[in-house]
Amino acid sequence: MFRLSTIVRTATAVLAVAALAGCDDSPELVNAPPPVNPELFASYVALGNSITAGFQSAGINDSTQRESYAAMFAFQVGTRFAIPALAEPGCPPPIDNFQLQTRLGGGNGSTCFFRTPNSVTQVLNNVAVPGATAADPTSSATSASNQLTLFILGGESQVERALDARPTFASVWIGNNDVLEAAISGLLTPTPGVSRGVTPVNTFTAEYDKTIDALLQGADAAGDPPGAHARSHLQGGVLIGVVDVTNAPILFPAVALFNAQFKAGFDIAAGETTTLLPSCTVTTTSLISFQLAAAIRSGDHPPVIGCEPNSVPNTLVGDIFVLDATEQATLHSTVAAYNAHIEALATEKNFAFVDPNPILIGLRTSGDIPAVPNLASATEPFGAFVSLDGVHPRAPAHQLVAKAMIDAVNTKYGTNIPDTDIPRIVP
Amino acid sequence: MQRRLVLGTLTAMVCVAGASGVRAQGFGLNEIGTCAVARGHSGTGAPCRDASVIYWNPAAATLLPGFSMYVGVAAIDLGGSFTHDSTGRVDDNTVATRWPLHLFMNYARGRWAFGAGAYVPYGLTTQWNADFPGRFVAQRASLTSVYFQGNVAYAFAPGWSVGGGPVVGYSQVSLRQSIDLSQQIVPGSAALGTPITFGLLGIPFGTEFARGAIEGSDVAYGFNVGIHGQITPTIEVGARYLSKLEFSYDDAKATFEQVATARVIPAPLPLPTGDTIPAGTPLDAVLAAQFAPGGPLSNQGASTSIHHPAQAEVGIGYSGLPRTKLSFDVAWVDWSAFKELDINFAGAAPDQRLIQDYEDSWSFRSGIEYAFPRQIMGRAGFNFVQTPVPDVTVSPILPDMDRYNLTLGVGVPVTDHLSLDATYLRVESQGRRGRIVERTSRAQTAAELNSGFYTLDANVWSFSLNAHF
Repeated sequence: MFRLSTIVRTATAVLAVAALAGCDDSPELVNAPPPVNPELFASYVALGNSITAGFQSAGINDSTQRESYAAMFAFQVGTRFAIPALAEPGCPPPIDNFQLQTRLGGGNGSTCFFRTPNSVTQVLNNVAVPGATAADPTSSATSASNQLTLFILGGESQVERALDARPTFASVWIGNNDVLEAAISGLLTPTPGVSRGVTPVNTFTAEYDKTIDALLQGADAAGDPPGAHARSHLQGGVLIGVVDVTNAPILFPAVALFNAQFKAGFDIAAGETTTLLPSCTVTTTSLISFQLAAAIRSGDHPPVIGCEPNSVPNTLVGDIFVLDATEQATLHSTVAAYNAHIEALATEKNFAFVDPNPILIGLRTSGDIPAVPNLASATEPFGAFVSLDGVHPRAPAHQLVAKAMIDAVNTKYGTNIPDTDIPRIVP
Repeated sequence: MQRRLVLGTLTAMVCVAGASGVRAQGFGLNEIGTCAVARGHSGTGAPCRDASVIYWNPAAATLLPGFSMYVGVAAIDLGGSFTHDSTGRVDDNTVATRWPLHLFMNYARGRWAFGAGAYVPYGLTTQWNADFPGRFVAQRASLTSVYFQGNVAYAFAPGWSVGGGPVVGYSQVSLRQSIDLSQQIVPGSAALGTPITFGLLGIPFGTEFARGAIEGSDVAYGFNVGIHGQITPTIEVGARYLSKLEFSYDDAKATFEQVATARVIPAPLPLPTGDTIPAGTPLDAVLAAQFAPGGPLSNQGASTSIHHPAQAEVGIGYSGLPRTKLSFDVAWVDWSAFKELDINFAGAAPDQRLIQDYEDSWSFRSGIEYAFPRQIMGRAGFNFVQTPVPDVTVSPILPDMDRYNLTLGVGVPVTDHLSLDATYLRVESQGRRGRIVERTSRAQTAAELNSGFYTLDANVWSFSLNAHF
C-alpha cells in the first residue's frame, strides 16, 4: 500500500517545478518510425495487467514501462503510444538487488513518485494496470484495484480509457491474475487477505467476453459527437492467452531443497535455518513459492517446509506457498480452458491470437530460465528473461512476446510489420 | 457605471449585434462600410464617396457633398475546424452568423466637414462544441467593441485635407471555458511544499469537473486621424491612424458550476492532510467543497484588460483609366502590444495569465471600381492579411492564420439621393497547426504544444444604404 504523505515528501524535489507544466500535448510518447499500416494502426491501445503495463522486479517506472511488449509493438508499427509514465525511481521502485531486496533509489514497497508531468494526457495508449483480473477492464473499481489503478486510469475503467483513444487496433492480455495469486500463495480457494483463489472458468469467460464486447461496442457506439467526426472504429486486434502460472520461475521444485547449496541459499533468504518436514520427499512433485522465504523471514510462517497439505495438522503448513500435483493439474486445466475460450473468441471476432506459453516453455527448456533460482545471483536469479520478482518478464522476454504478436498480426491481417530489430527499450 | 449603461444602450441601438466572428488581423474587423469592403478594404488612399470615410480616412469627409449618411450591416458566416492529431477527431467551430452594423453621418460645407460614426473595428466570437477537447482553453470567447467617433475635417489646401476626432470605445468581453481537474492542486499537498496535481494521481488531461465564465465591460478613449491629398487629377493619396484603446474590465464577474465526473476512487487514497479517502468514494463529493461559498470556485469578482491596438494605413488611388478607379493600401496593426491576457480573481480562484505574444502585422489591400452606365458601380478587390498570431498561440480562443480575401460588390442607385451597396467577401486560408492546451510558460514551443490542425474560412455579405442630401 502506498502512503501519499510519505510519497509527497519524497517526490517534492522532483516534481516541484514540473507539476504544473503537464499538458495533453507533450505526453510520454514512444518515438516510433514511419507507420506500417496507418489506417489499421492509426490508434493502438493495449489493455491488460502488470506485464502489459511494464511491471518488473516488483516495481514499475518510466523505464520499465518502455520495456513493455506493447510499447515495442507500437514502435514496430510506427504508431503513437502514450504511456502513463511513472516518475523514477518508480511506484514502487523496482527491486535492484535480489539478495538484499533493496529497491531503486533506496525506496521501499510503499514509495511512489506518481506520474511524470508530461504523461498527463487525454489520450493514453497503454491502459493496462498491474493486478488487473478479467473482471477489471470493464470496471473502474474492483477488489483487485489498487492505487496504480487510480494513477493509471484516473477513475475510469480500462475500456473507458481505451475508448478515449478512439482505437483502431487493440491488444488484450488479461487473465494471468485470475490464477497467479492462487498459484503463488498455493491456495486455490479464496482465502481472505491471502488469495482470491482461482477464478472459475465460466466466470472468467463471462468477464472476458464482457471486456471484448465493451471494447467493440463502445468503439462503435461512441459514434461521432455533434459537430465532430472520427476516424473509423476498431478494425483489428490481438488477444493474448493466459500464462500457465505453474511455470512461473518464482515456483521451484520442492525437491531442489534437497540440494544443500540451494537449501543454504533459501535459508539465507528466509533469515534462519529451515526444516524440511517428512511430507517432503525426494520424489515430491510439489512446487514451492519463493514467497515462502519472505513469509518465514517476516514471521508469518514457521521455519518449516512441508510439501503436502496437513504437513502440520490444523495449519496451512504444506498448503500455503505450496502447489501439490493436484493443484498444479487444476491450474493447468483452468488455464487451458481460459485459453481455449480466448482463442475461439479471437477467431470469432477476427482477431489474432497469441499463446505465450510456448515462449515460456521454450525458455525453460533452453535453460534461459533456470529450473531453480540461482540464489547466488543478486541481479539474475531467474535468468536474463525474468525480473527479480520471479514473475514478470524482462525486456528480452517482452521482445519475444512482441515478435510473436507481430507474427500473428502479419499472418492475420496480411501486414508486413518487421519482427526483427525490436528495441530492448523503446525510446 | 452610469456611463456604461448609457453606452451599452447606444451599443444596442446602433449595433444590434456588434461582435463578429471573422477577423481581419487578430481580432480586428474590417467589415466597416460595404463599398470599402468591396474594394478589398483599400479605403484610405482612395476613399469611397460615403460617410464611412470617418473611419477609413477622416480627412476625406470634406470630399462628401452636403449631408451624408451611411448605414449598413455585414453578415459574417464563419467556418472552421480543428483536427486532432492523435484521434483524428474533427471539431467544427459552431459560431452563429454575426451581424456587425455601422452607421456614419457627415455634413460638409466649404472647407469643413463635421460628422460622427459608430463602427466595430475589433470583435471576436469563437464557439466550439461542449465536448470540444480544447474547451479548457475556450469553449466560447466573445469580444464586442464598438467605437463611437466624432469627426472634424478641414481642407487646408486645394485637394488636401486633414481630419480626425475623438473615439469613445465600449467593449464587452466574455470567456467561457471548462476547468480541467488534472491541472488542479490536490488539497493539502501545497502545504507540504509541492503542489501535487490531480493529473499526477492519474486523472486524465481534459477531465472536466467545472465550467467557468467571466464577463465584463469597459469604456476607453482614443482618437482617429487622417490626411488625404489629390496629387494630380488622377492620383490621390491618404493615410490614417487609429490610436490604441485600453480597456480594463475591472468589475467583471466570474461564475462557476460543478460538472459531474462520475469517477470513483478505486482504492484507499491517503491524503497529505492525514485523511484517507476510502475506496469507492465518488470524486465529485470530494470536489464539491471547491464550489461552496468562499471556496476557490465560488462565484466572485474578476478583472482583466485588453488593449485594442493602434492601427495605421496608407494608400494610393489612380483614376486615369476610363470610368475606373484603382486603389492600393498597406495597413499595419500594432499587435505586438498584445503580449499577455491576465485574468485576476477577487476570490480564491487562481489567477490566470494567458500568454499571447502577438506580433505586428501587415495587410496589403487592392481594389478596383468601375462605373457602369446609369451610375451603377462595380467593385472588386483582393487582399492578403498577415496574421499577428505566432505559431505557438494558435488556440481555440483565436486560431488565426494568414488569409486571402476576395471581394465582389456593386453599388446601385435607388433614387437621386439614395444608393444601395452590396458586397460579397470570401475569406480563404491554408489552415494552420495549433494547440488546444494553455501555454503556461514561454519555454514551451509550438512543436511541443500544437496537436492538431485548424482551418478557417468565411463568407461575408455586406449591405449599406448611402444617402446624400
